[in-house]
Formats: sequence, C-alpha cells, structure tokens
Amino acid sequence: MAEMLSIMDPRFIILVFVGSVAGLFVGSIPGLSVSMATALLVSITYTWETTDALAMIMGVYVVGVFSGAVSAILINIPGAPSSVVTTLDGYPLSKKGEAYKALYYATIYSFIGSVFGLVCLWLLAKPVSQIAIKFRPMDYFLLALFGLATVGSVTAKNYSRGLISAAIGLIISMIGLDPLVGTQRLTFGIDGLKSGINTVPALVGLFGFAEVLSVVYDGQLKATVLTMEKQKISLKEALKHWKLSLYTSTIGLVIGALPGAGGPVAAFLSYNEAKRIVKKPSAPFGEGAVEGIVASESSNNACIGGALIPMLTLAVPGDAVTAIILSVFYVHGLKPGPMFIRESMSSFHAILAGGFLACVAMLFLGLLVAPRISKLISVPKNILLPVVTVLCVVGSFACNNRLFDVALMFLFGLLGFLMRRRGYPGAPLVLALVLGQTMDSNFRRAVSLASVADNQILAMFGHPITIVLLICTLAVLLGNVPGVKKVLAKRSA
Amino acid sequence: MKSMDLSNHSIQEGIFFLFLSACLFWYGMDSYSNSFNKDWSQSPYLFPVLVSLLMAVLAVSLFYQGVKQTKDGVENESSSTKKCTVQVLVVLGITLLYYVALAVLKIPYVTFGILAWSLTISNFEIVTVVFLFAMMFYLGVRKLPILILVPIGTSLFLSVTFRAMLHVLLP
Repeated sequence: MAEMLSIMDPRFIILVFVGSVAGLFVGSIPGLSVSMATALLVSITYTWETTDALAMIMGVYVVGVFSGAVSAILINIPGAPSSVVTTLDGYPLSKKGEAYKALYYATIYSFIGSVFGLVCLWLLAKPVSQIAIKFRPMDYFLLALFGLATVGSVTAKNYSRGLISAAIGLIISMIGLDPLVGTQRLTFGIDGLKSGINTVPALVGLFGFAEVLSVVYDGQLKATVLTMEKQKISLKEALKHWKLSLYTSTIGLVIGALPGAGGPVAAFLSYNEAKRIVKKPSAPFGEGAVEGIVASESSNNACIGGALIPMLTLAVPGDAVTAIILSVFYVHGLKPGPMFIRESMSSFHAILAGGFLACVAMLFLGLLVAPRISKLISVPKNILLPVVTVLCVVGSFACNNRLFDVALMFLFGLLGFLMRRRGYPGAPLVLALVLGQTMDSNFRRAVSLASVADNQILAMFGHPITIVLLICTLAVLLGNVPGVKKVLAKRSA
Repeated sequence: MKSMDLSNHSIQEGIFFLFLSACLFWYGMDSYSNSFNKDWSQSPYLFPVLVSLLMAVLAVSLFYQGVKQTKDGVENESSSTKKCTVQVLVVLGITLLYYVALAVLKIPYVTFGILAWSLTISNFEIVTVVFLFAMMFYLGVRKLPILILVPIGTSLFLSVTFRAMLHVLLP
C-alpha cells in the first residue's frame, strides 16, 4: 500500500486523469475504440518513463471500458463491444426519459466492478506468480495455444475461422529474425521486414483503419441523440443491487482471466445470470431494467483486473487491450512473467495505482461530465473518420519514424476490413501476433530438451502442469468440433 | 442437387487458405533443405511447417463446411443494410494518395517562433489539411466552416501536441 501511495505524485495523478478524460471520449465515441487508443498511445509514450506511460494507459483503459456505456445508453450504439449488452436496457431507459438514471447506474457499477477486479489482481497476482515459476517451456507453449484455442472459440461464429485468424497472426509473427538463432524468415528480401512486423502499426491498422473502412462500407455515418434531463437518485437506492454486482463482477473476473474471452462474453453471461436470478426486476429485462445495466457494467469492468492477472504473471494477455499493454512492457524493456512482480515491483504498483486512480476519475467523469457530452459524442462520422485516419498515420509512423510502418498500417487495415467482412475475428490474430515468438521459442526449447531424454514423450508431456494444460487445450479444441458439439448439445438437452 | 458451388464463401476461402498453407509448407521445407542446421528441434523452419499443417487442416474443414452448406442449400450470409464497396475503394484511393504525398513531396520547412516554442510547418501539415478536406468533402460534409476549420485545426493541434510538446516525429 505504501509503495502504491509513493507512486501517486502530482505528475502521476495528472497523467492518469488526462488518460481518463481521453478514455471517456474515445470509449464513448462510436468508431473510436479503447484498443485503438491504447495502440496509438504506445507510439506516443515510446520515449516516456515506464511509470508515466502506465499511468496514461491505465487511465484510458479503465475509463475507456466504462465509457462505452455512455453512447450505448444515449445513442443506442455501444462505444465498445463489451457495452453491447448495456444497450439492451440502457437505451430503453433513455427512451423513457431516464437517461440520467441509466448513466448513474452504469457509472456506480462500473466503479464497483473495476475496483473489485483490481483488488483481486492485487491479491491474486502473487500466488499465481508462485505457480507460474514452475512452468516449463512446453507449459508456456500450451498455455499460449490454449489462449488461441479459447479466443478462437469465443470470438467467431465459426470456430475454423477463429483459428485461421490465429494462424494468420502466427505467420505474421514469424516474419523477421527467428528468436533463437537469428535466421531471417519470410522477409523475401524486403529490408523493412528484416526487423519483423512491429505490433504498433499492425494493431493501429487492425483496430483503427479497419474500423474506418468498415464504417464507410456500412454507410452508417449519422447517429441520433436523446435529450437528457437530470434526475434525483439516492445512492442508497442505487446501491441496493450490490449483491448482484459482486456476483457478476466475479463472473467478469474469471472470464477476463481467460485469454481472449474478455468483456463482451462476460457481459452476456452476466446478463443471462441476472435474468435467471432476479425474479422481480425494476422493469422487464430488455425494456429498461436497471439490473441489466448493473450486471453488464459490473462484469465488463471487472474483466480489467481479470485480464491483467495472466498478462502480468504469465505474459499471456486476456484481451486485445492487454495484448497492446504487453507490447508497452516489451517496448520499455520489461518482461512480464512469473518473476515480474519480484523484479519490477514499481511497474506492478504503477498499474494498480493507475487503475485505482482511474476508478476515482471514472466516478467523477461518469457522474459529472458524461451526462453533458451527449452532443459531443454525436460528432458526425464523416468528420470523425478522416481525423481518425490521420491519427492512425501519426501513431504508426511515430513508433519507428519510418513511412514503411505507415504502409504496413494501411495493409493491416485492409486485412482487418476484409476479415471483418468475411466473419474472421481480429482478436485471435492480435493475440497470435503478440504470442507467436513466445510459442515458437518455447516449443523449440521443449523439443530440444526432450530430444536428449530417454523417454521423449514423457519429458515433453509428463509434468503435472503440462498434463492439465494439455487436457484443457484438447478439451477446448475437441469441444468445438461440430460432431462433438452436437453430441454435447444433445446430452445437455 | 449441387455438390459444390464455387461462389460459396467457405469453399472460396478453404481453397485460398489451402493454397496459402501449401506455399508456407513449401517455403519451410525448401528453406530447411537449404539451411546448414539439419536438426529439426533447432531449426527456425519447424514452426512455419507446423503452422502450415494447422492451416491446411483448418482450410480443409472450411472447405468441407462450404460443400455441406451448398448441399443443404445454405446461401452466403448477407446483410440487409446498404453496403458501399465503391466508397471504400475511393477512401482507399484518397488514403493512398495521402501516403504517396507524405512519402514523395518535399515542401520546404517553415518554422514559426512563438514565445517559448516553435511550430514547424512541413509536408505533414500541408498534406494533412488537403487530405482531410478531400476526405470530408467526399464523405458528404458540405459546410464550408467545417471543411476549413477541422483540417487546419486538426493539423495544427497534432503539430503542436506531437512535434512541439511531446517531441514525437511526424511524417
């Protein structure tokens, strides 16, 4: 606690607040996403102190996830995928003239969910690290494979498409020097590819420019905003759903810790649970029940702490934003993993301090500023999109100061757009891009170590953690085979 | 009854990814055979070969799903909303021109010294103003104040924030 307080100097607090304000606008303006903003921030904070960079990024991350609810409630367009569920009850409540009430509940329960997730991160990171120290190269490989298998299954309607997206990410991650012996792979004599594909232009392209193209393709360049009238809501009345909030926050935490699942899945599951548990909602679900907002916002915000646990202790990101934060760590020479908390205690405390401060900023911004920005978030997209394109160019150029990265960003944007059109999710590609080198090097290390053992299969797969991870990975892979799925569905019916 | 319809997306994509996996497999095997290190466990081409095999399996699965869909008479997924392929191509064209202008044009630097900081106007600022004007005009913005103020304001804001305050290089 004392270490965390020592980090909170005025500069740190200001940076978190600036990040939070940026997160509020980025998250609430449809077409701008938290992933895109974090990816752009990586390029801006390249030369900063690690603590400063983390302060800004945690501000954007925590408040950005919450503020997706603002546009979900006011204009029926979720600012982020994790806020899709909030539209189900948030917008009907707005149509009844109770937009302020919906925003109030969203803010309070986003705060509770975020704080819950961060406290769990604080308490659980060390024990998880203790287990992670026992991990061997094959375990890291299988853990990453498990992450890709899971993300493929939860982000795509078609499992093959999810895994193909991951395979494309793996191929892209192989471009450049190989991590063990330094041989050039898949560079085809192009000088710009020799140092590999930088994650920043790839992420900016996949999340930023692809979004620009998708919005233009859909032709939906305008949005309508409902008027807002301030209402009196007592805190006591609002807090009476705390039990539901804690329950759905726990769901969010667990889902967030699973690689790739993230906020949207957590919000949907929690919403279904709320429908099952709450017998007498304030209004029928889907017609303005505050319980729906409570469940959705508590769980998607608790995902933040959940997603950071595997990222910090195992270097396996829980969602796209933590995959980008992982690249911030690499940019600043930090190595997340089992030894991270021991070796980089100050960075761990900076993340926690930044997260908690961002929660306070969220409460302030959500209650005072969010109700007033309804006009601003309805900036027509035909003005917003060109500006976003310029930001994508600036962000991708700034990481290496070369135009080749801008060209890469455009290519990734086009790839992301085509993938979206054909139903290939972007999250598995990003996860594979970030984890590819780790998988490659650990797999070869594991094979190399096993090649000198008497029983090679036992040497590779005989470790208890390896067995558990292998069973989990196979279960996810087999569970998504259409034939097996049918049998399982028949049994559960 | 149709057994295979090449207009089915899954079949098209299955063939494409099977071709991609074959190329990657060939690349891995060819590079391995030309490399000095013949130990697979240490070879940098082990992973490309494994990924190509994984992709081949997935491509076959996608292809099979496509064949099944055509047998069952399932159509490609299409949305009822209006889709603007031409608009996307024009936006890509304008963006490509923006990139070429940033890469090729050599406009002399003009630096304005204003009190403590100086503002440098170069390629980026001028090309960005032109790009934003063109793109917004194409996307339907017709209000002259917006068409003038947003490009100039954005360009100056980025220049001051990135170049002058954050010391981040711009194209």
